[in-house]
Amino acid sequence: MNFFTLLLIEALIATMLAGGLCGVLGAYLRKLGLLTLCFTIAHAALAGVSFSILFSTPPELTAFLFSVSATFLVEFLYHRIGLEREIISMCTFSLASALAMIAIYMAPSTTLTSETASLILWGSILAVTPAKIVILSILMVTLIVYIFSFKLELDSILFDMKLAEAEGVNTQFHSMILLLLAAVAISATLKLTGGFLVFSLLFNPVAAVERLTYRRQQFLAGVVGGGAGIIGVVVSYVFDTPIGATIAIAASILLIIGVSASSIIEYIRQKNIIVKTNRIR
Amino acid sequence: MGERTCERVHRDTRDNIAVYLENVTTAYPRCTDPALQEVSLSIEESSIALVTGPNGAGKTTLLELILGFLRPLVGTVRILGYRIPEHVRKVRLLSSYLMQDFMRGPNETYTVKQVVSMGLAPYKPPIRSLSDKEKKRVIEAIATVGLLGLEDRPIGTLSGGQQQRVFLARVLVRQPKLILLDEPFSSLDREGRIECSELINKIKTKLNTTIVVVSHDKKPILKYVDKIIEMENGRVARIK
Repeated sequence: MNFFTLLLIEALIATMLAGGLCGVLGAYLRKLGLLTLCFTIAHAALAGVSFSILFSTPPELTAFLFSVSATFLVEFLYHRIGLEREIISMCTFSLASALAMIAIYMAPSTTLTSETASLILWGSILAVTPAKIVILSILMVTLIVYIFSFKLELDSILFDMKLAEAEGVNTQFHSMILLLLAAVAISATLKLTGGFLVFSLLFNPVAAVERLTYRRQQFLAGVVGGGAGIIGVVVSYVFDTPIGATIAIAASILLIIGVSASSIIEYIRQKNIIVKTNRIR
Repeated sequence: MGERTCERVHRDTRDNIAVYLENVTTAYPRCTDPALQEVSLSIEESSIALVTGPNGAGKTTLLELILGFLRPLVGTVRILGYRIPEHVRKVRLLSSYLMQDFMRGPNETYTVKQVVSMGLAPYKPPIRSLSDKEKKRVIEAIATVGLLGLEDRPIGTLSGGQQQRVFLARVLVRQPKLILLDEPFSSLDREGRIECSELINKIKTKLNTTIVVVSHDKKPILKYVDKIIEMENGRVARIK
């Protein structure tokens, strides 16, 4: 097997795992009303990677530390101080973006023009390493084990968060676990899809399946996310386009397909009701 | 729910009082006026108490205080012998709550059985799914509220009255020491109100538990009630 084939296979596995992870987590966080915070986490990770250029620290680890800090900051201000989560999330997002800009601005010009900077901002197939595949696989297994271990608690929270809390389910713990898993997934995926495009794997899959079905949305969002990753890598390989942008476009196309399919299904459903009603008459 | 035995170590169960409030004042965050002011009341164990009063009297606030969603700024709150807010999780594990806005839209796909099973979520250790005994308890609770045969139906496809029975089954399956019902008759017709109050009394008899019913409509439950607490402007106006 030559180097390029191996790289392509590794990229396919990595993006499929990353897309699947982000899709499932995005669907859970959407139901918990935490997508804005997730957006902030992604920007905090971008700030972390930007700082890693400046201080020559490990990018994934720095991104993870920044995104976890942002999560704890928002959750602390929300739970302890009583500020609205959406507003603090957006304030933290602007702070993270500002820090990212400053770090990029302060970085030596040689660094800015280097492969490292473009890799962070736009993503690269070269970011895929066997170690990254192992991390993403471990993360996927952790997520699956977590979901199956706490299925009843998670269902209870998704059904009605306040009722679950009133019944003694630790809703804060589960929200935090999902946010931390998202922080790790984003940090591990950032160099692959690029800092500006990682959201496409978090938001687009859940939006694609939201109107399509009300059952098993989390699973389907994972499939759409994984599919977007695979399609993105293949198209990027065939047409030699930037991988991050191609994955984002693939996710957008799947979103359009999902929304169109749901509209067609709804149209057929309503037509059938009209036909049935006319028959009864 | 075997942990209840060791939890009793920290309980103060004097006088068999399930709900005890002494000169309690509380307020919602960022509000200048108190939501409850100098409220003192007690509800005996294994009784039905009706909390009534006009809109804005503080009825739902009282339930939020009991469940620890609000903290007492002044005074003492002791629920099932546990002080609030210190032992809020213990109280929540021993209580069941029926919300005011329980209605689910047609897109809600969780089945009756799933919704009732969710009531057992905080008692179940991670990884393990529901035991046969717990599954049997779920079916028994569904049968008690008269929904046997509908257990696999999505809750969103049921009527308002049937949905309320699902939530009452969820209350029942937890075998709580304290049940808090917030406006249980609000979305029911006359017949439904009578059926619901009969069901509440049946639950009390079956579980020998304390039930606090918050309702501005006294009529349906009146004959089963042991104590009536009338509230006005965040204060207790009368206790009968």
